[in-house]
Amino acid sequence: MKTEERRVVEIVVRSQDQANEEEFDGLPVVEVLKPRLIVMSKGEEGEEKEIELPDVRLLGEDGEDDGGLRVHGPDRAKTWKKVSEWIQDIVIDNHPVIQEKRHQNRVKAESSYLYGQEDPELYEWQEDEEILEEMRPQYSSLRNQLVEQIGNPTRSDFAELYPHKYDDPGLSEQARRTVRDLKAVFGSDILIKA
Amino acid sequence: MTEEIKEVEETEEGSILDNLNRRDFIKGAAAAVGGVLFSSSVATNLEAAAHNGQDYVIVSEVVKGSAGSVGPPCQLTSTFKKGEQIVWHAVLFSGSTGEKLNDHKELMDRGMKVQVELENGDTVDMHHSEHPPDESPKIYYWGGSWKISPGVPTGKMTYKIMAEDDEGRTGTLEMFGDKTVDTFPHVLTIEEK
Repeated sequence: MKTEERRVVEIVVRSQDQANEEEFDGLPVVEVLKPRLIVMSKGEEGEEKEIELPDVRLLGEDGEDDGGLRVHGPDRAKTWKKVSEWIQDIVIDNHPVIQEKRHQNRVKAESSYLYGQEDPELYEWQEDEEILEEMRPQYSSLRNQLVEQIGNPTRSDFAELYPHKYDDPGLSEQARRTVRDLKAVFGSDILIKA
Repeated sequence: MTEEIKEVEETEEGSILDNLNRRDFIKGAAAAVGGVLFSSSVATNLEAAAHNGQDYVIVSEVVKGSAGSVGPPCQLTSTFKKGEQIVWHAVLFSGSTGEKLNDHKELMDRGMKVQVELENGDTVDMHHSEHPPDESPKIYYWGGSWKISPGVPTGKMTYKIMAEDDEGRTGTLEMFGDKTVDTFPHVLTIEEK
């Protein structure tokens, strides 16, 4: 199977008034944003593809008469997560240095697997700040668009999306993994306090 | 591993494995890809091939690749997260004699092609090469990988592996439909990351 070369272009957001009487925490859903990621293939034809991202529901603020809206946190978390995954797929996974490091990981892991060697120390792309800083300008416009449309993700967005099963302080493993990837992709300042 | 090999030799005497060059198999590809489980698979797969008149018997395993891996790569698993890489390993045997077919030059001379076909219609070409790629001693087997895009739906996914040479001789490892065929893992699970 051939891997198609692509680049991320922009995020477009359409909105739709909410007809159903859906509520979260007693607040009505008044609008639903439908963000799409636009991806362009790098071939001569440069075909454009629209990728559906998770819907983001906007809630009417309690007691607000001026039409103030609040983004439903878990929806925002899902959208940031999905955009982060697509950037990993399209940009980060194709960086030659990361590919070479992963090849080295494979050699180490196969040697360990085949010959019972000790667990090797493996490269983790999330910790390679030098390479990540080099790549971020390629998709910084997406970050800005998303911040403008739905706001920065917050820690509590992820805590709500992936609740900790033991209900003790801190994020669940899935939430921590997602936040780690998100900070690596967009920079550690992407996450703000709620 | 030593004890496992001994167990295979003792318990499978007289089986279809008699037709295999057992020590060579265990030292080579089997040792590389799962020992007892792999050896047992050869027996069931050979029986299935004999029933179905297949020319080639395929024995395979599935591991996690190095790209996008959550946790260490090269681990046997049937559950993958989006962004991870599914890697298939396979070794071929003759359906008629049970002989392991793993000589690189011979396989290339036969024009052997091995391919994984996924439930969604995607295909993955497998390549016969040395593992690990940069170290010795090396072991040959067929390998192919498929990276799980963020757009792939979560849930179960089946696949089959097919082998064919220049003269039209074939072998297929179907994950469903024949209880005598090795069925580990018979279905893969894809989860959100």
